[in-house]
Amino acid sequence: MHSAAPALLTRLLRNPLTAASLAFLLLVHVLAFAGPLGWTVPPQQTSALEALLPPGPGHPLGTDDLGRDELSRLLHGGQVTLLVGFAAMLTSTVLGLLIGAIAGFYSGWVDVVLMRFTDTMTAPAFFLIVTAIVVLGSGPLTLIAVIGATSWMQVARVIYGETLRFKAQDFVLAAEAMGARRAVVLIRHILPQTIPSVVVSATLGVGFAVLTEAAISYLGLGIQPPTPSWGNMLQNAQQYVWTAPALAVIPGAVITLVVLAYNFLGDGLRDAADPRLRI
Amino acid sequence: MLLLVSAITFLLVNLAPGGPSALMRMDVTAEQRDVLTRRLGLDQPVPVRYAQWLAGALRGDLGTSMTSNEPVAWRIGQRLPNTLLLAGTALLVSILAGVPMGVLAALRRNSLPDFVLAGISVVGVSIPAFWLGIILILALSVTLQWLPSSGLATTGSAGDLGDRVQHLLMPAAVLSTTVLPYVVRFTRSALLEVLHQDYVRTASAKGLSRLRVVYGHALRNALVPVVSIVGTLVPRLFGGSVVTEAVFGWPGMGRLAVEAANGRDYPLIVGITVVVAAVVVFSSLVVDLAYTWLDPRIRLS
Repeated sequence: MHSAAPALLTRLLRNPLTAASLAFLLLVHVLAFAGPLGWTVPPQQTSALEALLPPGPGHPLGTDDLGRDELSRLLHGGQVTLLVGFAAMLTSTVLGLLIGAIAGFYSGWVDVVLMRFTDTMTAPAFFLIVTAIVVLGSGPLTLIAVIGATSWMQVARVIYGETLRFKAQDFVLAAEAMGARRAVVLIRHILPQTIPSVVVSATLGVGFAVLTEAAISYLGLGIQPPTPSWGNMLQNAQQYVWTAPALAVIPGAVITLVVLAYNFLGDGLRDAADPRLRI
Repeated sequence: MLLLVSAITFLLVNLAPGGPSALMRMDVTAEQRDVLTRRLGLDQPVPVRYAQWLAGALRGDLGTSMTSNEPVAWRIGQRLPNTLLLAGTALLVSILAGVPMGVLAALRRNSLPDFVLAGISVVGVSIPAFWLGIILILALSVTLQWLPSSGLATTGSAGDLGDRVQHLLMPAAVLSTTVLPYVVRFTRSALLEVLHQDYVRTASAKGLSRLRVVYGHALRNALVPVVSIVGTLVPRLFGGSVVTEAVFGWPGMGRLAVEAANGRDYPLIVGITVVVAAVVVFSSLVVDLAYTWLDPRIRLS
């Protein structure tokens, strides 16, 4: 795995789309987290006289309905959205990995119960999110937990398939023949094999989590104003679509590009990790 | 499966700090609160309440909405047809558009149309549906003024088919983008798989035209697995309907869920989640049946 890393990176960057996505994502993250050091206008400073200004000098991206600087809100909102997206992805990856690996490794009723549960969770996922947020409140931490707890099913299915595949292979049989305990076989021998798939799922998972956060915050159920997030910036923007279209266009375009880049990066990683999987 | 969904939702709602009883307004006296608690059965332990709710649900009684005092089943019944209309149209659009796109991508594999379609698919899954909706409103309603921006129909012209179709057009298009990429990708890979099989080569060897081989022989078999993914699209459509209905002011289940969420209407939100799960389960059952009917090699075990 370790010796393969440089070769993997080379193969990854050979695809121009993947390389561009990676560069774009690095840029966005640096801008969101370091940008406020350079652009120091506070994101929550309102100004009735400067409401709904079009992009121009002083406010490069204009101002919103309360006269808050749109660029500053975009940068600070980026921190919130990207952190929620990343943390939710970590949660869902860990959950999916655990459930998928256990279901795939221990066959029998464990398998049936866990995979049934996975199917069940898929059915009304977005409605479960809405319900859970109503009940648990809408802080960033709850949002992370709720998105994580309702988006692990895809990872679980992938890892389930991988575990089933590796379980039947000779190196697992060899480890078992040498007297390794079941849990050791799973953790030391099978799980490391699934790392490429986990990384791919995780990359795609960030994009999905960012989209989900945006949708929930757009509905007014997620990150609460005045804290900005890319989703809740769009919540009010729709009202002003006639007078200040930039408010609606810019945050959505940023979300689309970031999710797109994560998806391209995920696809690129998949191709680089296993060229045979390319269809 | 429905049992599991209802149990998860019910427990989630009832075990939360405060729970439904916290809804009671602050200005009620202790006695009033007591009466209300007893009337809503909140003095019973949660498993007992779940059993009672379940017994009611089996008879079609999903409880009473806390915000409007109307039966939950009745409020859902008012909204469900609208969502079914929206989701059904979106499903139809994505199949009618997605299957030919998938066929084109498979036939022109690794050429320009294939790459363009793959690009569109990735953009389709990356774009937030609500933002696409806002952009469409900006373009088609604000700038060009072709289509109405929200609602089910123009007030006063209810029943006018053309007007209703106009209102349906944008929401259905937006909702279909949430599933269209899956239809395209799936059709493409299903057709590619079939194109390599012997009977397709036989058909080509007989001298049949490329068109007849693809549409007469290959596609028919490729479509069988495509039917199976319809079952997985339904949950996506319902999830997408929440934001789509919010953008376009479409009075369906999704908006009802958001209203219930903002009003902390616990019985209503449990009812909605269970009904959505029921529709999903029912549609996957229909898909399974259609599947066995289309392909006699598969029998339900």
